[in-house]
Amino acid sequence: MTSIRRFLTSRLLLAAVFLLAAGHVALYLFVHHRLTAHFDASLTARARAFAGMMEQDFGGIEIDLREEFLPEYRRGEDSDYFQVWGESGEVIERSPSLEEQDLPRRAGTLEAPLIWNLTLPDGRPGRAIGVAFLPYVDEMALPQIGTRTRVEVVLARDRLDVLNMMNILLFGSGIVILAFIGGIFLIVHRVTRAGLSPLNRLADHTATIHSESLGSRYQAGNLPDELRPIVSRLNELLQRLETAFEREKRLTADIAHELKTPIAELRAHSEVALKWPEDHPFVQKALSETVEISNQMNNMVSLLLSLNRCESGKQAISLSTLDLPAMIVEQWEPWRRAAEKKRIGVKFDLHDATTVVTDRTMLASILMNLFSNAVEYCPEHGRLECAMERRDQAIVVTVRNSDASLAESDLTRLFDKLWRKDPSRGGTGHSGLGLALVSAFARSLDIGIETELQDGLFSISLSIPPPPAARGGTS
Amino acid sequence: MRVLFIEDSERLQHSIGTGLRKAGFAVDAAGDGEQGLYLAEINSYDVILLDLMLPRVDGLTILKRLRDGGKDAHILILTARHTLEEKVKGLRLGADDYLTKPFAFDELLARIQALIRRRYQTKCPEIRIGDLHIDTNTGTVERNGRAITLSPKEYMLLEFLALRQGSLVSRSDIEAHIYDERVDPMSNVVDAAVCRLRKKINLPGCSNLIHTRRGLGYLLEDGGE
Repeated sequence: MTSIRRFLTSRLLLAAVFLLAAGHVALYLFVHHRLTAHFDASLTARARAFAGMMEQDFGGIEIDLREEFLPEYRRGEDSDYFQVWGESGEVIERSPSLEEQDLPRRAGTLEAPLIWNLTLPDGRPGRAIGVAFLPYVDEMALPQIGTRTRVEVVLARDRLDVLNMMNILLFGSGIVILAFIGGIFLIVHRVTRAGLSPLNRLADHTATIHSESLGSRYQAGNLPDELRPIVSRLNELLQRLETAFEREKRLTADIAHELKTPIAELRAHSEVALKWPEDHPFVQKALSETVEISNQMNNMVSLLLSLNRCESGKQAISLSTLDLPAMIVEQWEPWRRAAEKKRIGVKFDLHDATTVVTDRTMLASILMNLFSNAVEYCPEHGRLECAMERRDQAIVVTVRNSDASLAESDLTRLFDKLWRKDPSRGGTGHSGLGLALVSAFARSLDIGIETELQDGLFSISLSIPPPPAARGGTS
Repeated sequence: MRVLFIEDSERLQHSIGTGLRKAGFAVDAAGDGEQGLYLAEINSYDVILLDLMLPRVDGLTILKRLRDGGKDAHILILTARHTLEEKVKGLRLGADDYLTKPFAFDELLARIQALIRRRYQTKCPEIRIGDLHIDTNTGTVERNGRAITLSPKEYMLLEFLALRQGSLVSRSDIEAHIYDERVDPMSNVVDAAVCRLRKKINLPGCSNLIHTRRGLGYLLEDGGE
């Protein structure tokens, strides 16, 4: 089914046709039954009257057939018929309309006469009644007559009136039904069109949505209740799409910047050096910076590849037992001088001999990135703290540093690939991939991450799970 | 010709700045939007090379503020952004040209020269003053069919005077357009440069083309005195 409107129209129309046809048949049968019953009652009354006109006397069966009482049995068009048989089957009397022909001889009693359809001798459709009875006998004459003779009478008359009436009913109601069906079709068509118009509005609005207008939303106010949950879900979907699209656009622009800028630097260095090769100091500087740029690009590509490996689940993980405080101190060491240079107040609060089971290289990379960021973004004379504590069974390492540049709204985007607070993306040697890698590695190692910004202090907490044995695992 | 290069990449500043100076331009460089805007507002530049993604003040804001402030320097946007929307936005805000990174240095040079020609309302890259012929595309100078070798700075001074041929050019004008902020404004660098240039283009048997108007400036024209 490709169209709800066609589906509803056809199904409703079929249902209406079925109901009308059933009603029509029921009405036809009811009227037919009533007319036939009425006809049969009339026929029965006539048979009884006819029986009343018969008498048995000395001469046999006498029938008072005065023509003024029974004009309908005369010969001619539209006549009725009767035939009377004696006990031994001999014809006692027949109506003039029968001439020499016979009616079928079948009979019930006066109380329960036998009635059936037949074709009259002149070819008209008719209905006959057959009764067998003992004719009236005068009680005074009964001793002389001796035994009473049983006679059988069959009366027949045409049923054209009934049939005509039924035909009129059949065709008249048929026309009315067709008119009804036409009317119902129009009504159903219009009602379904009006009922489905909100869907059309929805479709029209959907057709206007493209990559540049993902910020538009469906208005639920003028929609029927049934569509509101759908519209609500569609709006949620649009919100997710918009967020993903914006993130993708931002990522593409950031990648473009992060890659195009060093390429532009390489190209400018090379072209200017080739154009003025005699400027040896410039050529020397350009060459040494070319090496720096190459290393920087190589680092960025390596980070992107690591991220990709991690996200596709292809990062090899090698678990081993590590002395966590020792590793923290080891990863802090490269940044100690930079922190001293910025006169950052550093405080470490580590517990001795705390071991964790995790991947050494990946955890080292996580800690190195956290310290690198903390030192880079901590202002001069700021604070940097690293604390370790047990929380439930996990070991929580928190790196906290002063940072006045971050806002609460930045926390949701910190781990986005290539995200940088500074829209110019300049200044530091950071590409914005460090925290994305931290997040990806942490996910792979089942390490939870929480961020917090309070009173100008930004903190990232790593929740390192206990070894599988301590959790009751069997890894 | 004086160029301001607003770019936060120190490496690009260094290489492009070096290249442009070697090509004879006076180049000032700014590493962030705030400094760039300040320099653009206090100096008179022929061309401003403007990166869009800048710390402190972004490129589009600089562009708008310069145009709102009536600055008519030709602005060439240099950026890694390349969407049509961004180009249109930049051009609508008053930029004169757009070049996306990475770019060829020669293309940048050609675009700067084209902007300078537009600034001085000349479409032809060749300038003739009497028997002096300057090709601004190749940066070559001939007089009476003989090639004259000039240093980039001398060439730029000649081109600056030639673009205003017949008009008096003040000493401060030359300072503002040919020399960058590294030059001491109290020095006689302009007089010395004009003197050197005059010697080089006044070949034996040729008339003097650069005329001095004492206290007013210099005039480049054929048969001025």
